[in-house]
Amino acid sequence: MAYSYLVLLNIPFIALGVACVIIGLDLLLLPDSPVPTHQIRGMMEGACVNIEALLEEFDASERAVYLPPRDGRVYAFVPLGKKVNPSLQMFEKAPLRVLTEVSGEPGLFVFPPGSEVVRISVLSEDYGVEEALNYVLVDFLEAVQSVKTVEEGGRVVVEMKVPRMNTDFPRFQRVLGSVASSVVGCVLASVLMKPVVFSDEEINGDSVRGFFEVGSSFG
Amino acid sequence: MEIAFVGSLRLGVLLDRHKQYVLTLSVLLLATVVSLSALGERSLEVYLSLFAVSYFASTALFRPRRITFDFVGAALFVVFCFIVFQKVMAILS
Repeated sequence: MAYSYLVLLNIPFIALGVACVIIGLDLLLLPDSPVPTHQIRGMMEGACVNIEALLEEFDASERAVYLPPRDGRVYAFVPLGKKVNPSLQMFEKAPLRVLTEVSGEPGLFVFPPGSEVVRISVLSEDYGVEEALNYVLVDFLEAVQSVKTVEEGGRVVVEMKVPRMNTDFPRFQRVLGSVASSVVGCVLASVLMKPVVFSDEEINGDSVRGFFEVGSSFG
Repeated sequence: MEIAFVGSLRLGVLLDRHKQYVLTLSVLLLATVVSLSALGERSLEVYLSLFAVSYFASTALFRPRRITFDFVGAALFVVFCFIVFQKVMAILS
């Protein structure tokens, strides 16, 4: 009785109780085991090793073309000869195997690490480019601190602040971009549903700027 | 000051986003209760309004993932709207 009198008539105590309830309920709504981002980042960097070996083996040096999902997975075409014109129709006809030919030009089909990330992050169809990039890179993967995009014509420039994943694989970086840029390529191809060519990358201290060219759906 | 800044940076590196969010929310709610009670505030509405502001501020800052719809946020939003509505009606009448 004395306890009820002391607690229930004391507004700060009630407020403290409400605060505890808010925190308690909020903890129930948070996932028990959030995505272990450090492990995911490690696995992604590890996945680059195989692609690096493959690119090294075939002496690939041309920029990759990220292609819209087929069976839910984004894949990238790495030309082995001259640069190809990125039109979706052309790539859809090409057989999906490691060593392939697109319009008579030899190349490699590789599944970049970002491909699986895009698939398991379950991107909503309503997402715009910047929203999707923020969701995958900042919220889901925590690979960068923030993302900004500028779209003009068929060109997309993506600026990422404080990237947390490093690539020590020169061939991978030259062909597909850094790990973060590679994920950007996958997200762009998935959201725009068009082939996206990784064209260049600038690293300035704590920011990485990726340049991409969006191809056409029909050649 | 510098030590606090370095400490917060280290905290950001050591703790994941969810832990930072829970810690920030707890500190903000406790600070709200302590400061308002020290000021002698007797209205529960003021506490609840500031709880809602603290909740949405920390949610916007850390953007934690949730396993389902944010019921707590929705409830706080409804309570906040109800309090504001009451105040507006009181002013109008």
